[in-house]
Amino acid sequence: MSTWDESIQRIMNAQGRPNLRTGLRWPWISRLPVVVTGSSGCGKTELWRRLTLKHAADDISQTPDQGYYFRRKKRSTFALTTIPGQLSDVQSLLNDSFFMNRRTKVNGLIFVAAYGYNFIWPEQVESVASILHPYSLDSLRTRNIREELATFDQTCEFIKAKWAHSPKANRPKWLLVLCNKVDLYSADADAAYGYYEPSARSPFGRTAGDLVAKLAGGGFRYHVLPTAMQPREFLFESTRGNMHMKSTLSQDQCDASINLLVDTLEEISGA
Amino acid sequence: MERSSGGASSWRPPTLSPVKEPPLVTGEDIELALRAAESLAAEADLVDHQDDITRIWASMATAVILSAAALTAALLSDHIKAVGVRVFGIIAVVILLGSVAAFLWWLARASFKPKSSQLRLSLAQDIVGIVREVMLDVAEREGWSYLRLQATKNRISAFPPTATVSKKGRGGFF
Repeated sequence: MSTWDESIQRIMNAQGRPNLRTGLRWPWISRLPVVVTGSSGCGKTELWRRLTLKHAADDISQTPDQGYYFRRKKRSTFALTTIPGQLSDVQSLLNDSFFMNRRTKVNGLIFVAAYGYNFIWPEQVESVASILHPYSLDSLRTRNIREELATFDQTCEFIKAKWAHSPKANRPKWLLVLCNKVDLYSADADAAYGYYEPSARSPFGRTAGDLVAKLAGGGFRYHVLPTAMQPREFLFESTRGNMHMKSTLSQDQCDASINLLVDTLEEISGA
Repeated sequence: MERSSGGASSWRPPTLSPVKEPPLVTGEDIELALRAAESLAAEADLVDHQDDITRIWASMATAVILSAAALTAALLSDHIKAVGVRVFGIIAVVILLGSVAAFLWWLARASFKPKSSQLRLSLAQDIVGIVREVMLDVAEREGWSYLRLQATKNRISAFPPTATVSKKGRGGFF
């Protein structure tokens, strides 16, 4: 798998375009369930759409066996299901279904992180704006990182629980953390890696390190990868003022990041 | 419209300066908001339950009317000649069609009318949407205990996500 520096290099040089394919999942093509998780507004559904080549509504991506990523070299597919970032009944049901049911197989997880640039849904903008003191982009990112960390803590707890009570074949074997929306912080990409890698001293790194230390003996793999689904400016507009951050990558560079992600998925899953 | 003949008033619209730093949300605010949302959701469930009972009664009434009509026709056919059977048969068919039409009309009206339960659920969802966004910030600022934080999370988890409610009501999957 590409190291962080190689990954950044590939994205900056816009190397390769994603060669994704779609089709029917015939019964003889094996199905590996993959859970896509992350806090609200980090880009899970966009990732699901890019990998499955579907343009379905949000709730379709939350339904198991609605979207498949067809692997390049193997006769198998990843059945991708996103778990919503919002605390909700759907999130609880999916978490129960994937992690508390010992008979449900989970091949791996993709945790989508946004390094504080989570999209805030228009209905929630004023609520979020009301808790920002001072009202600044840094405060907003701190708030988003806090939400992300809470989701990651929960995800790690679920992974540990799954390992504790599920048979070996049903346990998740890898966790891929995507530093998504890297087009908004490409200059700080290395700092993002320093935050998300398991040996980092950040709160995220400590949680990740704890998980890796506990499960690495069983063959569990953890990898951090930069991605950007599409170049898009970050906007947060409330009655208290507007904040924005420009995208610094081109569409070709974003496509290269998808290509990198596909390569990594092929390698990390192994099976 | 009568106007005052007096001179120009000294009243002017007040100059309202925008609130730059709104007061911080507290744990008490969250508790009140969650209770309101839960109360609205409970009312929505109650309204749905009452609607279900009404539907059951309507179905039973239709079944009773149809059974009575069929039974009457069958009983009369043994004692009265063919003309009478025909008359009661026609009556039974009219009742049958009338009750079925009335039931369908009632169902159609109920399905097109905005349900008060949906409004209540939507309002509850709006409140929970706000709480969801500010809860972690308040919990950290006020140093909530693990139990309080988890209990609040679980209470929020009883509601559907904001996006699905606005699109298609209480969102199902599986």
